[in-house]
Amino acid sequence: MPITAREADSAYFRLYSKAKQLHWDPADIDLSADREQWLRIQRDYATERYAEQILRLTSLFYEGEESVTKTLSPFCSAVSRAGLGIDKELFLTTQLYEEAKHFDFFARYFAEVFQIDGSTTAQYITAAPRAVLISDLEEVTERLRREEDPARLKATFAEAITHYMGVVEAMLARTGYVGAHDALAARGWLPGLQEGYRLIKRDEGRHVAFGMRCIAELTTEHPEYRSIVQDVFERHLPNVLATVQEFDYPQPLVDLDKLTAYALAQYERFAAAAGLGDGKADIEVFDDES
Amino acid sequence: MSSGAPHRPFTPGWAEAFRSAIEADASYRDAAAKWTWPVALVMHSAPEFGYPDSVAVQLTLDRGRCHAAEIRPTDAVSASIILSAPYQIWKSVVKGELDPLLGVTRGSIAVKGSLATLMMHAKAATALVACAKAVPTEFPDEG
Repeated sequence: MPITAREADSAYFRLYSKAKQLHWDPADIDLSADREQWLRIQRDYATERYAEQILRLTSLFYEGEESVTKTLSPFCSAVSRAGLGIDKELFLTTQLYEEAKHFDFFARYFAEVFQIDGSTTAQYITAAPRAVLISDLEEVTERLRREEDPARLKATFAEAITHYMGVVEAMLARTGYVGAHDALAARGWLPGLQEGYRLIKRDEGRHVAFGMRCIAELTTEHPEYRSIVQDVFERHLPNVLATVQEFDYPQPLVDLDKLTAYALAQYERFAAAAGLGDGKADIEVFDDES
Repeated sequence: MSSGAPHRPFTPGWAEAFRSAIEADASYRDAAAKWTWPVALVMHSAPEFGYPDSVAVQLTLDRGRCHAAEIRPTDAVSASIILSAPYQIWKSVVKGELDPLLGVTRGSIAVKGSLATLMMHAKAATALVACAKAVPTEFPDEG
């Protein structure tokens, strides 16, 4: 199918072009200083349990990136089957590649810096993050993959976009990367991990911008989808908040209140894109941040 | 700041002063332009402070206005959003020491009803509770 002039000039196509321009390779990130610092953090901050907090946080990212890599392909197929535009499909191919890179980065980090098997990450995935990051995401994307009825396909696409880009990427991933990056940067710790967080957060900004544009478009065309968006958030807001609260250590590495406020601001923006609530959508802000 | 004698929190006089403060607050009126749901604030029983039973203030809110603020026993609460907390938590909120949304996210304030709606209108919720600061309040645990 050819790319129409409208598609070639669309915001989705611009996001796709930006993804090409901002390419990075996880293998290029310099981790040479991280291993020694990691050993020092483990040794010098045992009372504060900072190493445990970093490991818990990074395990969530590792598990989350693995899950979003595995569950994105049904979106590409759904866009094609629903005839939602080749510009969206093009963007999603860049996202799939980027999610794989994010997973690749964490796999490398666990192997080279933590020097532990990635399979140990599962111990940090309690019920709340498991539901939002893994099991329920698998469930909705599986329904998206199987749906054949055109009307239900679009509605399921709206539900899946809200879960994937609205809850997982906007509220959890971007919030987590901002909080984790700030916490490490303030202490001058683990520069390789900081750089990975920075680059991944930039990618996630594009993904969220894509999701916000899709949900704005879908709910404008089908205002009845707004209740679908609200239901997804209703189900997962408690899981998101419970996930953030898991970092409420006696001496927390991250600023929990700031993190919570950031997560809720992301929620307000995404909901606003769907025409819900009082907030401003600010889709262009995400375009600029990415 | 509203004038008048101070009232103990979660009493009829306090609820009426709270309603007046909400009605007088231009910031709340702007922030809550899309808020259309009644809200109840429930305080758990605290016999040591003179509250032998849990008690609620139910607020009839509609697009920046507060049409009624009634003290009710908790089994008579009919609001679609109910925020419940112990005395000390509400005291911190009323004094402006605890952001009510952070109270919710930390689990200090329990929510019954739509959390998504509450968080979607976070500014309205914050502005609502901020009005309580303008109510002259006599806390029973402060001489």
